[in-house]
Amino acid sequence: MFGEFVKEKRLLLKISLRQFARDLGEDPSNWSKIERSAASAPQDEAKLAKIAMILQIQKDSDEWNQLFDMASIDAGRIPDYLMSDKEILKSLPAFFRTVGSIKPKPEEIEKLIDIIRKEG
Amino acid sequence: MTDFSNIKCRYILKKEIWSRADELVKAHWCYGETPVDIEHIVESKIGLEIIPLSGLSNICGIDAYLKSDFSGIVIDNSRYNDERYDSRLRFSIAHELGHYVLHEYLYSDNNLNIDEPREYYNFITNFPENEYRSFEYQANQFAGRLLVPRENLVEEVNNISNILEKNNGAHLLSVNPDYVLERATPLLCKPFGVSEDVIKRRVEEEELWPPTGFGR
Repeated sequence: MFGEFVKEKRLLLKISLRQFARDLGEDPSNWSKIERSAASAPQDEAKLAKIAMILQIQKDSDEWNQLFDMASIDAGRIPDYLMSDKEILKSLPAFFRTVGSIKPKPEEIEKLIDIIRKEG
Repeated sequence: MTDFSNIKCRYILKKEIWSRADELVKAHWCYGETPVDIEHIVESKIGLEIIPLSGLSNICGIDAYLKSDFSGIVIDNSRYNDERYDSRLRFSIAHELGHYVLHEYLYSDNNLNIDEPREYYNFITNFPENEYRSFEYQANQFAGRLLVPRENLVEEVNNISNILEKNNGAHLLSVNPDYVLERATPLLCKPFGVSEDVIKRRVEEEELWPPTGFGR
């Protein structure tokens, strides 16, 4: 809920994920997880105020309250850390870009599965 | 176990690939404006997720990939966060978008039924190398044309010709066009946000070098 809201606002303002994460001082991978609801929303008020500022949300406006409320609701949610095999298969490459257009080796795919399982 | 060795890449004329890239830019971007904001197109217009993943490049040797469910493009997190890789990353995203636009049939045509990790290893291992290269070639053609539209490239090449003429260097184009291209490459790639390799390939593919009226 929180993640979707932020992403929608971010895209309306044409801010890339990378730029948003940089402005916020967050790691893009972690921030992407929050937007995809694979991790909980931040609870720190200063951080939320900064998010609101980047998204051009005025203090004490309806959207401001909505942002803080959604972050608070999100705190009680347990993110789905454990992906099923089926979900992992969806997250594996259909196509991949490697140096020299060489197919990844099976052991590299095995490592990738490990990373996806841990990182989501 | 499914036999994946019969996977085929459909032949598509280069002109057709370029035209698909042009159409996409015209539909989702202000055609003629560079650099093309590939992240904006992918996220906002096409609706694909961009998912930075730690360790993708260093541990798995992959720069970027299109997810099997065609819902997002996964990219290496540290490179995504490092401005030195901007050009390569932009190309990687455009390349994966090329697969998304051109190769959706991989799953429908080939009746791929991958429902367990073991089957996926089998898929990767038996994906025919030459067919894989054809898929890659097509995605590269798509990405190059998308990020470096022909009209803009013609304009930039003309600018180089004008600079040479003003500095009495036009004769160099007929004597040693490769040398001039090597020197002009940093200027040529700047407006497009692509690497020197990409721009060199683009002028060659579009047969724009040496510029008309000189050398050739």
